[in-house]
Amino acid sequence: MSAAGPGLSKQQLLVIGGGLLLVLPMLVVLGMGFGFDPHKIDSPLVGLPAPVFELPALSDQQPVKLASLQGKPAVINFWATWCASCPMEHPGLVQASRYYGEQVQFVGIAYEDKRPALKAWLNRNGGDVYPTLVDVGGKTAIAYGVYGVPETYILDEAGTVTYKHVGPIPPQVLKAELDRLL
Amino acid sequence: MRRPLQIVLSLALAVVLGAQSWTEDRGEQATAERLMELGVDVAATAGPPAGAPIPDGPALDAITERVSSGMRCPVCQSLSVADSPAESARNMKTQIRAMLAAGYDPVQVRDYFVQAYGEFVILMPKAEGANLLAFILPVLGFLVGLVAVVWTIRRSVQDVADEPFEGPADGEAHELDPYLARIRQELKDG
Repeated sequence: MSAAGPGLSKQQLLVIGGGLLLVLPMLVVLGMGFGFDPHKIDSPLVGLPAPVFELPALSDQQPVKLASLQGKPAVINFWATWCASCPMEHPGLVQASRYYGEQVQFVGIAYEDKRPALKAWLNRNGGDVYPTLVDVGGKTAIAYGVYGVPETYILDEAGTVTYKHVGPIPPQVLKAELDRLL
Repeated sequence: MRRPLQIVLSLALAVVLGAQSWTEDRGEQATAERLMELGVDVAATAGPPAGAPIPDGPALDAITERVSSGMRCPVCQSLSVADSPAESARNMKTQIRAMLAAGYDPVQVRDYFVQAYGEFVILMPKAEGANLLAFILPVLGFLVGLVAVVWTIRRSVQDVADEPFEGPADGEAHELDPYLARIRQELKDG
């Protein structure tokens, strides 16, 4: 075998070069993956009209339509009694709904849950301050592309989705997004 | 010494209970009529159905299974909607079935879900842009590997063929001779 360099044969250089050619692009792709959260998926709904819905209210079973929320910014929060982080998020939403009053419509949509459990949970966590709707069969959650709970959608007064938050929405984020619309 | 055992048992119990809570019905059961309702948003989002309604039966079951197999369960790790026992996936499968039954074709159904969840909801990525790497790299890797294997085999065969025979010349002593003599002796002695 002919020597192509100090201590390395031509064949060894070829093998090393070929290996690097295969491995380096993979390392680059993996390196790009650092800092990328695969669970953070931008909602295609942002900038589009919010999917319409008609769901019964937990309190009186009366149907509530999306159209009834329009005319002012709205906050739609998908949540559940079995969700671990919802009890941490709920006080912030209640506080915000009291702070904004009539300026913003807050709505909770119960995700994969049962009415008795929902009522008990709300009683334990400050009551039904804003309407809670029950999404039996999960068709509204599907229409909104809900991956898990809690997830929060913010709509402008025309009913366009302006923001989606996955996980408990921090009060300062909620305030910043709503102040932008008011 | 009992502490590790307690930890292992606790973890096993958590896994069992976790799996159970994942697959059990957490939400209220919808009526049969409600299950086959499209949802009030579908017409606005997906437009009118492209085809004719499909009646309940094996044909609807088969196409529902096929379309569900290509969709990702949103709460699972790489499981399709068809394979996942999670309630979210079952709700999605019900919605797929309702749309197909109403006459929406598989492309319309997929587009409806993509509009809500994004491309992530499709298990097979579209062959475009950076996604092309997922299609090209495995084939390229296989071909490079194949060439390397063939080249290495040919090379070693060639090396053996080219290697000069370096055995002892006739009458010349070899280092293995004492051992060969011993074996022959042992065979002879039985």
